[in-house]
Amino acid sequence: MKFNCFPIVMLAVDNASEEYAETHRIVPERVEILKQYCDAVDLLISQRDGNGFSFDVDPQDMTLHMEFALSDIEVFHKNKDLFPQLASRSLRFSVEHCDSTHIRVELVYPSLWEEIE
Amino acid sequence: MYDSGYAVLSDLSEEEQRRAVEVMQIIEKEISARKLNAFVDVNRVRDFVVCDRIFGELFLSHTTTKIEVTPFDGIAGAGVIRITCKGFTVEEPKKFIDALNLASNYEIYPRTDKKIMVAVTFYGMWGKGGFIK
Repeated sequence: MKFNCFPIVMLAVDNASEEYAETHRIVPERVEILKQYCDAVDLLISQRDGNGFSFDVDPQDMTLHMEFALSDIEVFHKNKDLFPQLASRSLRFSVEHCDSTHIRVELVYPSLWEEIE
Repeated sequence: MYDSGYAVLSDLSEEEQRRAVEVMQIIEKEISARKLNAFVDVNRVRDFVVCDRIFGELFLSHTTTKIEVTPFDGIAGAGVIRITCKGFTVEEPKKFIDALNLASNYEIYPRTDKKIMVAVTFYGMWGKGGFIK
């Protein structure tokens, strides 16, 4: 079964939108971009035996935090490989040991919301 | 022994130029020891040294990190930088990915000692015979 992280992401996004509705509004164009990132993450997870996807909106700066485990990262075709494309578009990213068969990747992306004037 | 692209090192810092010459001497020594008809490619050495410097900066604060730099890796037939650490955070992703993209390929995978390995390979650091662009 193909992994689909976008519905999980949108649950958290909708919750955050409700929570910050008085001060912030969502920018639809940014959601479109996030959808593309999610599609790429889905592919990466399916290609690299991934699991353990989680998503959070940071309450401090409203940045988006995606985490998931992968068996490994192998990059041979730099323009086509998903990891460098996802990582280079992030604000920051981290990689750490998860278990003997997986690494944990965290990608942080800019906020989807803008302040209401 | 070096090709005419030696000028590509001129925009590097003094430290990087010194390191590049060091790397070229290591490769030449290996070429000579193996009696290979091969030449060092200065452009690839440059990429290798720049990448090594950026990794050094990135992993400076990670005290558990071990960086192993092998300009002439017999098994891979290339230059390889191997980084062993518990994990790392990149605050400037574009700079880091651009540096990685100088390499031919790279892999990040888990080890059994609760660490990860980042293996960055540079093919074409030297080539057999003739003039190498």
